[in-house]
Amino acid sequence: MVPDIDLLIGSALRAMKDVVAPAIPSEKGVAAEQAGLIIGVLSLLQQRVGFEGARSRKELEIAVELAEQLVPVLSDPGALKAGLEAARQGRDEAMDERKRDGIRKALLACLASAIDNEGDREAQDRLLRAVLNVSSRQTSLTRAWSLPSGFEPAANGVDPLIALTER
Amino acid sequence: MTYRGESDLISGIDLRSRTAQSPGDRFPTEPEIGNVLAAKLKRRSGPKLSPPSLAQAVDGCSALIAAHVERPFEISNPRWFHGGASKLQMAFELVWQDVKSDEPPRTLVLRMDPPASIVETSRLREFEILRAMHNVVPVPECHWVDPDGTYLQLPGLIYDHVSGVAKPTKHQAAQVTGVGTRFGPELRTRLGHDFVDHLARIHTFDVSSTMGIPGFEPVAAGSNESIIRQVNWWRRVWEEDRLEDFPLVNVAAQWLIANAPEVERVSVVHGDYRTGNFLFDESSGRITALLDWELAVIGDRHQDLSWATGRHLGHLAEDGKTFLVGGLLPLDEFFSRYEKSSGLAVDPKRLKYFDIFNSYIAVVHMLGTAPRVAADRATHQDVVVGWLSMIGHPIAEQLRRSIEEVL
Repeated sequence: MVPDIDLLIGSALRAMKDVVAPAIPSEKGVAAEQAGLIIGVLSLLQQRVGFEGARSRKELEIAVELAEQLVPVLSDPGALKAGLEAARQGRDEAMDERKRDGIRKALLACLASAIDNEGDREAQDRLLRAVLNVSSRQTSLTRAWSLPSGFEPAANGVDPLIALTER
Repeated sequence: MTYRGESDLISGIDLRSRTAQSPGDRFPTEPEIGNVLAAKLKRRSGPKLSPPSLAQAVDGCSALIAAHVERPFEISNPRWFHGGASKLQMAFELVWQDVKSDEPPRTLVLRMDPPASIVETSRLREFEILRAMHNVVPVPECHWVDPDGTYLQLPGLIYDHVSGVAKPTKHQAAQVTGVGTRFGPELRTRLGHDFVDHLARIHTFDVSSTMGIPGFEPVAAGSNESIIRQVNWWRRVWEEDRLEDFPLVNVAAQWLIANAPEVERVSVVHGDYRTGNFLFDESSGRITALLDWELAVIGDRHQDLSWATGRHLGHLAEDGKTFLVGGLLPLDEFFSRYEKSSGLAVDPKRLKYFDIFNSYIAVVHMLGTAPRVAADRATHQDVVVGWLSMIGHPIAEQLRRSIEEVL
């Protein structure tokens, strides 16, 4: 039996807040600033660790959707088609998260290359519109994931992560 | 003259040969920027460097100063500054040791590159632009530069220390680098006026005097060449730094090249003009120094106007409705004061282009370079850089929406 991940993160967070940060002398500004950020990172992890599998699956799903929309638009979709085939297999529920993430990155590389290599102006315009459309799902997901960082200027407009990662 | 990117002579880009050339060949930019990016790749592929210790930084400073002055001196009370995310900064006292010298010690600041940075820029260009801006707006007086790290091991410059604070000591609700700073109602109006008036002075500075600065390429009014060079700069950085692709970035770059406007009036552009990048005196409410000129370019002033008024760099006033630019002034007041102070009109169409341009650059920094730097474990600020990368997500959405609005 191994210690619960939530418990480990929570213990580290309390140690940073209650013991380490208060012990840093005020003149050690760099250390104090970084201690504050470590507290922020641990707090974020505490809120997000349970979503990692669902986030990874959802990000792959979004990349697959984008590829499916771009294939009919491209002048030469051969490479992207092959990447898409491989990525569809990554949607297997039981797949290891690291492997799935590797498949997603490979598909994103295919997508980027397909966009850069498209020379037809009309096709470029349709690619642009498709990317803008599908990217809204991607940015919604990543904004929700990073919400605890406090950088979101319109936090009320961000959907809850749980809603975005549901099947 | 308007260029359209891709395979034309200025951009030098052939989008159909993505893998055939290096990013440096595909995306030509200003020579000094090319040198900086080439040095970055060289460092990345070489033996791993660590940030210097305080003692090493002092030794480097001593060597740099000794190469330029013949008087005996000593460096005392060295200490690191905190608060920034991209450069190492060390304050120290320079004590002259001439037998009869009664000059008081001079407080100076070493600003130098870490082994890797969230934004790789030229210390030579920063030194030159700071010198050009001296007596135009409040900037620290620059003394010495080590553009290629001959003395400091990594590039750096030394300038005067300027007193002041970057955020109020009373209202501390700010993120790293000053994003989200709350000045409070009393302070913000006075600071806001200085903030706008200094920007107007920068933009109305006679740019012809900068044409001879070696680190900057001349810019011609009526051409979009300089803007395409800048887009190329950040395309190259994205290609070299990203850990994973993001198709939004690829289509944004294509849009920026295809729609690059001609520069109507050539200006000095600060490049990162925002709260967090100036010092001020809390009692008088006056700005004492404009800092962080590392992204300065010669180009279109709307680049600064768009960046300074970015939503992610300001906040709402107490009424919950009025957006305060940089937490300082309402948007309308910011623009009307700028037009009055500079005598120059704000062009909404150019502003919109630079909204997209600035969001694109910020996404490259935050989602391309920041994760790379944190993964390479090469800075003194890895945790800061990793944390900052998350601001890239709301900015990516801003980029997406801004392009959607102009289609």
